[in-house]
Amino acid sequence: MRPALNRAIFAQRVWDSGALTVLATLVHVFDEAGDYEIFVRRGEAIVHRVTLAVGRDGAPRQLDLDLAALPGDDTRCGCEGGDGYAISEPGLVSFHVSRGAGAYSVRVQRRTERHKEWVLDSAESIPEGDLFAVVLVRPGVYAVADKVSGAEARISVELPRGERYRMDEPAMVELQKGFDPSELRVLAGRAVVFRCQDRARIGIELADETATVSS
Amino acid sequence: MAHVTVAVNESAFQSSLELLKRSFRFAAADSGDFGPFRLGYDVEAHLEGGTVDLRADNTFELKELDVRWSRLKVKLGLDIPSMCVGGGCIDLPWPLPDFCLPRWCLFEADPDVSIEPDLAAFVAQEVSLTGSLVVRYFDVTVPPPAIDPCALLRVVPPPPNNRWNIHLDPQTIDLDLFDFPDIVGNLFEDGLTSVIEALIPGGIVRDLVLVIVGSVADLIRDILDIPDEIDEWLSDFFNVSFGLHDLLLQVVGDFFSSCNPLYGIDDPLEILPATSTLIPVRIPIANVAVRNDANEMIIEADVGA
Repeated sequence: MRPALNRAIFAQRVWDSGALTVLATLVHVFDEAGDYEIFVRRGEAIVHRVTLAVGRDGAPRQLDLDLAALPGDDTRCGCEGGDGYAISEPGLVSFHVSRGAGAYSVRVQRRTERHKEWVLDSAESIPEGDLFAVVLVRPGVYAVADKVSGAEARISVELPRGERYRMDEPAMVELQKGFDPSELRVLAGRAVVFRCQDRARIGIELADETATVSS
Repeated sequence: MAHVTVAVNESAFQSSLELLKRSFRFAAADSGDFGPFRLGYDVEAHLEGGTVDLRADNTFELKELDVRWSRLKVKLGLDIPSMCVGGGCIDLPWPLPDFCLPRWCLFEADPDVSIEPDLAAFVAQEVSLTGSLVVRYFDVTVPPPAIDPCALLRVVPPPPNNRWNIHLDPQTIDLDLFDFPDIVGNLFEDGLTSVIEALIPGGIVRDLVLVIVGSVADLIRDILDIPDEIDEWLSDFFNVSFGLHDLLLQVVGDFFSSCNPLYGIDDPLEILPATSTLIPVRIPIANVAVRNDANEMIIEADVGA
């Protein structure tokens, strides 16, 4: 039997940090110990809810949540309980979507004895200090824009012929009063990681698929 | 002095040997799982050609005997490794830990591919034997062994009576090693390329997959873990790992020396057939010996128990 091809990898052309899809990753930095609760939404519906303890001794420094694989669906939130998660302080939690056509957003609430506060609402924006990464597969020129600051950038994705290369070498872009660098060339299949020094909402779109730069 | 002497000249000897040689059949099948790949074979061979030379030193030489493969199927299955994009780790400033990115893989599960070409047309080997003629007595009262090594090699069933058998007893057997030509390597590469490319749609998807794996040839060599040509790798497998060369060597030896006599003399020997009124006339045969010189094979025997 032929194995199923993960077609979303090749079909995705638009990304939005406010609506996470395949090939996109949002990384939230937890730099304050405490008890948190994570709410995962697909569209308008909450499809998952789980607790997170930050600062527990011996806990891992990184937690990866595949939003497409969490229990829950559009009719129920998967809130039936469970053990929750724990990470160190500081620690990182990444949210990504492994398959499918759904678009997800994440809200994180910090709870104390006396109050609760929202520390992340990805549908609105990415807080300062967080990261947003996208794996660009299709060759072409991508337009990048930050809806909060209005900053723009361009990424040219190349597919070299006859040359074997590693996919696991991401490129870094700093976002602070503009993208640095604002023009970037990467090889297809590698991740581009935006480190947000300001609050941001990043959108990426394949603007010109025919402008493939080949070596 | 023997009571009976029979001489068989070299030409007649050759004819008898030809009849026996034509009955030779070798068939074998085996497979192995070697982790990232699986390799198996299904083969069948017979013998053709060759000339026999009776030598003055009481030995014979059977040379330039061709091993012809009527079937030499090789089944190669590969587990294609994960083909994924993304991944890698990024260095974040202290006190933040480094962050490692997720990967997205092209297939839901690792795909398997396999091909099964028939390489019979590309392989040719020669075998030659030297040895002497020996006499062995077949006693019908002795029960057969629990595991009969001649079960698949015997041309005719064991006789229902005692018999003096004259066998070729090879002392040396030279068999060419399996040596697949370059074209076999091309055959495998082309075949695997076709099945791998059939897994993935064309256009940008295929371009990206081929960038990930290098080329299909690179992928095959990585999975098989071989620096050399596929044909050399396959030859080593047949000669060493599967032991097919040694097996064929043993089968050829057993065929002539143990399982199929060249000539047989019944004991007792019927010299007059039965008639409507008389039983057959049979004489006991004893002390059978065989030798040869450069011209003929000589069989000597005594009459009587």
